[in-house]
Amino acid sequence: MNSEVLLRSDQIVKHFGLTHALNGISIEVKRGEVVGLIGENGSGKSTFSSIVSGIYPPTSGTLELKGQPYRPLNAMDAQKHGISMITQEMGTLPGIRVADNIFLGREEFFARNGIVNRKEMYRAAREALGRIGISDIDPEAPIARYSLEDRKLIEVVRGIYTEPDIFIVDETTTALSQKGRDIIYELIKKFQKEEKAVIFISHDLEEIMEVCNKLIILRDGDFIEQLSKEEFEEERIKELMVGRKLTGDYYRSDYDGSFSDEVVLKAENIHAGHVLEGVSLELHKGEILGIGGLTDCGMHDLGKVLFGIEKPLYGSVTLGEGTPIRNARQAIASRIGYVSKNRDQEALILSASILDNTVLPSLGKLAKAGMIFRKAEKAFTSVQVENLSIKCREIEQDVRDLSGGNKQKVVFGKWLGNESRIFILDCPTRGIDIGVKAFMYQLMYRLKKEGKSIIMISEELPELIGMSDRIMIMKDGRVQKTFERSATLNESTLIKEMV
Amino acid sequence: METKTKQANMYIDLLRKLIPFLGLAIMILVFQVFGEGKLLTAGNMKSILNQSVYVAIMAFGAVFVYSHAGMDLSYGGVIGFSVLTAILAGRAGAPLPVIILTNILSAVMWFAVNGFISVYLRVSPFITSLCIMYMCRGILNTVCAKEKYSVPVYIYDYDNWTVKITVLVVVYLICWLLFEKSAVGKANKAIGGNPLAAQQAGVNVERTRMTAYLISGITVGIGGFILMARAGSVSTSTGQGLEMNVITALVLGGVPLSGGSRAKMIGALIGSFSVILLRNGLIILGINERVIEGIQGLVLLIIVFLTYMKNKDGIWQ
Repeated sequence: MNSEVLLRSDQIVKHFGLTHALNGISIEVKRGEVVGLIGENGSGKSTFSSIVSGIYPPTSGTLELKGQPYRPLNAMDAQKHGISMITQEMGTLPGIRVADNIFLGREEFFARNGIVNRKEMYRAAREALGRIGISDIDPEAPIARYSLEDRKLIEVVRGIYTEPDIFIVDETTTALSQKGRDIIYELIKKFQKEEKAVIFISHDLEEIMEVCNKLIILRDGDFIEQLSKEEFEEERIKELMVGRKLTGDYYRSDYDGSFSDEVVLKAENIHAGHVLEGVSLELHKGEILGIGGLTDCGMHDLGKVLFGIEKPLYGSVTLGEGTPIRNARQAIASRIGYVSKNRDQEALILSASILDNTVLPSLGKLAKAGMIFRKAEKAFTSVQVENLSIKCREIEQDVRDLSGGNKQKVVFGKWLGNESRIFILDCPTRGIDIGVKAFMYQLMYRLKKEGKSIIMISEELPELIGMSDRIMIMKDGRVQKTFERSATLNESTLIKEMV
Repeated sequence: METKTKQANMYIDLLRKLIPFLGLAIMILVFQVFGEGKLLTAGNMKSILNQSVYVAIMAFGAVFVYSHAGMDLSYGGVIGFSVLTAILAGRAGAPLPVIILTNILSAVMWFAVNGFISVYLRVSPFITSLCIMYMCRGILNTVCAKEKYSVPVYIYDYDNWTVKITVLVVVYLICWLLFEKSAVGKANKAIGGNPLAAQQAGVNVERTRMTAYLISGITVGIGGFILMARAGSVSTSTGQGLEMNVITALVLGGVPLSGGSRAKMIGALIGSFSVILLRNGLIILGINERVIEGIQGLVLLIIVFLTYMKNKDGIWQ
């Protein structure tokens, strides 16, 4: 194999104000390599890849591309040098067509005398989509017509259209279903075959071990270890990431799927949006009800309907004794808590403090004669920060500065503080690291034992199998099948019902 | 290292809170030195205080609207309308309580209109309030075209310091309590920070926003009474340009126009003095009144730009 070094970084340091994101990273990416960057939240994976792809400059240190000094001015410049990145956050622009998104900033390909030949552009877009096996996206359609998943794939097409030498995939697969993931995996293989390189970032350890042939582990902005394919071993990698030995009981260890007969929340024949077509369910006291399916099967909408923030067209959501849930206020008053899948967009006020975020659902309770005192708010928040061991400087610090796992703990703190007895959790461990994940699972199990009820909507089958008393698999807006907790239940059984 | 970061953060945090006060102090210093001592004379101080009172009272209410990322540009027009209707009521023989009530209700009416159209019909409050300002100006221009209406003589008695300071303090305290210590204020800040997160935390987003407009309307009405007692009459130019003073007051007081948890009631108070002091100081320096408007616009733009830079940087905010 031609092992020519494509990219070399030398002592890359990046500071964001007072935060030190990278403390001198020196690595090499060779031709034909699929390099997995792995580490906990805040370890510097995304910062490093953003520097390579020109999104921001390093504070110090140098990059070398194919033996030449490389200092990208911006993402467009990086792309000209042959480095494309698919980002963690949404990268398509709303309000314009698919083809315009694919060729954003490169319209001159199709321009003659300043006029863009749109027919030619649509044709090229259709061809580019077809090349990676997508036929059901119309380049002439407005981007808004497509789901998050399709938009992500459109972004992929944009990223690879210039035929880059290095393709960076940053947490992209989290947003994709199996079909979308397969497309990405195929692309990665193609890059490998063509003696190019891929930098792959993901939280999914299994996936990353499968896809990559080299792993680079980062922790707190430091380079920790580099492993070649033969050295991959799950336990070792986890240890290197976390920096300590992990205890064995990641999920709950019992197979006792029992819970009380008392129904606490009930949905009947829910029709909502374009997806839900008659879903009914019953949640019991002390039950963890897992809901799984493909990302567009309607399970995320179901969570919103149960919490009262999405109105069903038909059907009803009621508490056990029959009180209907009509809006979020009423749900919260009935002691229901909801953790959104889109944490930063829906669950948190990033520019407000941990305190402001934590007390928000409980303002009514904290008020004495209509007045809310700082002292009461501080005491309230401190309890949650302590119980959940939220890592922060002070409780009046902005939530924005926290790592993903700690942000999620703040969201949990809101609902624990409000003494919720029903928790609707939509992808509660999405994008958080192993340490916090294990903590969340323990917390959920403890809540169950205390007689609280949990609905866990998840796209990760291992956690559904590992944590749920019952698993409800949804498909095309309907309940496909329900499984009881058992030691023999495995992923392939569930997948069969999902697709 | 850890403690150093903590200290630096605390320092930055403190500095951010102090900037509006420092700005006011520096302005006083500069104008006093370069204005040959004319700034801090008893007469001039009174004049500054007089103009600051009604700007401040309007700014207190405006904090509610701007903290939820709402907007209103109609302050000048609406306060003019409020003065006009109250004077007409007074001329028709209405007793004092009715006159004050007219002040308040006529202002609340316009704010209810802006609130309703922007909250429930989802039209940009920028456009709605701009239209309202023009409508109010149109009404004033029409009614006051031939004749200048004056207040009943006894109203002049209320243009005294006891009334003005008492009203200022009472309105400030009520607004401070509502904004900093009650659910209404906290909900407004939450909406300004992230309306979706606020909704999912159980905030009644629409009702809270509407309440903010109504509170703002009430304070404009109260400000209207103070302005009316001072001016004694209403003309086509009553209240002209005050919207700019209110917005500049918020910005100089460190209230972010984009809303959120950084908004503070004390900012509106400090900012109101700052904006009037700025205008007054420039006059003392011998700068033409027409030019001052331009300078005010420039100052506003620079500060908004600086706060935007801080946000983008991700460090200060």
